[in-house]
Amino acid sequence: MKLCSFLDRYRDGELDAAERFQFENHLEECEDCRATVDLLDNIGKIVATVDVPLRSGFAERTARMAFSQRRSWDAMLLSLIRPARAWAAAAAVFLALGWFMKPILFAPSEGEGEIEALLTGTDSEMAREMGRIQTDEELLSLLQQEANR
Amino acid sequence: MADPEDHFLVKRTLDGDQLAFGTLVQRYQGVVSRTVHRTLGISLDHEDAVQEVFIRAFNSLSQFDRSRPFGPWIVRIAANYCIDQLRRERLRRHRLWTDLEEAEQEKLLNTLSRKPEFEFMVSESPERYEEVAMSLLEELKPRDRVSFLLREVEGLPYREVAEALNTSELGARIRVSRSRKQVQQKFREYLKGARKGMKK
Repeated sequence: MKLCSFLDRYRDGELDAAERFQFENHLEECEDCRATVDLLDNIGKIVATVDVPLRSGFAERTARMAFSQRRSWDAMLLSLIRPARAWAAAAAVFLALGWFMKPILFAPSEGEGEIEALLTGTDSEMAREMGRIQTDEELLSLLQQEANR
Repeated sequence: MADPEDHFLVKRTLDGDQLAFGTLVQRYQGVVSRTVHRTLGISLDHEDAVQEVFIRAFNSLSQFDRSRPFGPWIVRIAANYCIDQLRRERLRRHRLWTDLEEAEQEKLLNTLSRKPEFEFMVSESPERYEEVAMSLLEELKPRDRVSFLLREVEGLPYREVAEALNTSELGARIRVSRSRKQVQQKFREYLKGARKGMKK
C-alpha cells in the first residue's frame, strides 16, 4: 500500500532510480495502480491526438481584428486619461441644461406673480396703500377692493 | 527563460505594428487552439474562442512582464478563458458511447485501462475512446480539468501549470493529483455502471 502513494511522483518522473525500480515491480502486482497508470497514459494519448486545425490566415485575421477594435479602446482610454476634458464637457452640458430649464424650474406661479407685483409696488397707488397695511386682514381687504375696482 | 524574439514582437505590437502581432499569434496559435479544444471539447465556434483568447491577450499586452516568457502567459489567458466558459455553461457533449450495449461499454472501458489491448484496439474506433476520455475529463471541476490537461497532456512543468492557473506550485500539484484520483474514481463508476447494466 505504501508504494501506491508513489503514483503521483512516478507520473511526474520524480522518483529516484531505486524508488522507480520498486514502484515498477509494484505495478506488476498491484492491479489498481497498473490500471490507473495505463488509464492515464491512454487518456493522455487520445486527448493529445484531438486537434482542430485553424483555417489559413487565422493569425492575420486575428491581428487585424485586434487592431481594429483597439481604436474604440483608445477612445475609452482617452476619456480616462484626460478626465479634465470629460469633466469640462459634463459641466458645460449641466450648465446648458440648467440655463434652459431655469424658466421651467423657477418660474413663479400666476398668483405669486400678482402678489409679488403688488408687493414690489408696480402700481404706485397700491404701493402707497401697502405701506400703511399692518395686518393680514387689512391686506385682504385691500386686495378685495382692488378686485372690485 | 524569456525568448528575445517574442519580446521584440511584443514591443513592436505595443508600438502599433499589426504584422508583429500576427507573427506572435502564428507562433502561439497551436498551443492556444489545443488548450481550448482539449478543455472545451469540440465546438462549432472553436476559431472564435481561440480568437477571443488572443484579443484578450492583446488588450492586456501592456501588462505583460517582459522579463518572463510569453508562452506560459498566453496559456494562462487561454486557461482563464476556458475556466470562464466552463463555469458559465456546463459544457457537456452527448455521450454517444453510452448508447452502446453494456457489454460493449465494458469492453471499451476495460480496453481503455489496459495498455497492450488499447494500443491494438484504438485504431479501430478512436472516436469511441475519445468520447470516453472526454466524458471522464468533463467530470472534473474547471480548474482541475485545465491543470490535468496542462500537466498530463501538454506535459508542462508544475511551475508553468501554477502560472497558468495563477496559483502556487503546491496548489497546482494538489489539483493535478486530485484530478488523477477523480479520473480513476469516475472510471470505476463507469465500469461498475456498465457491469450493473449487464446483470439486469
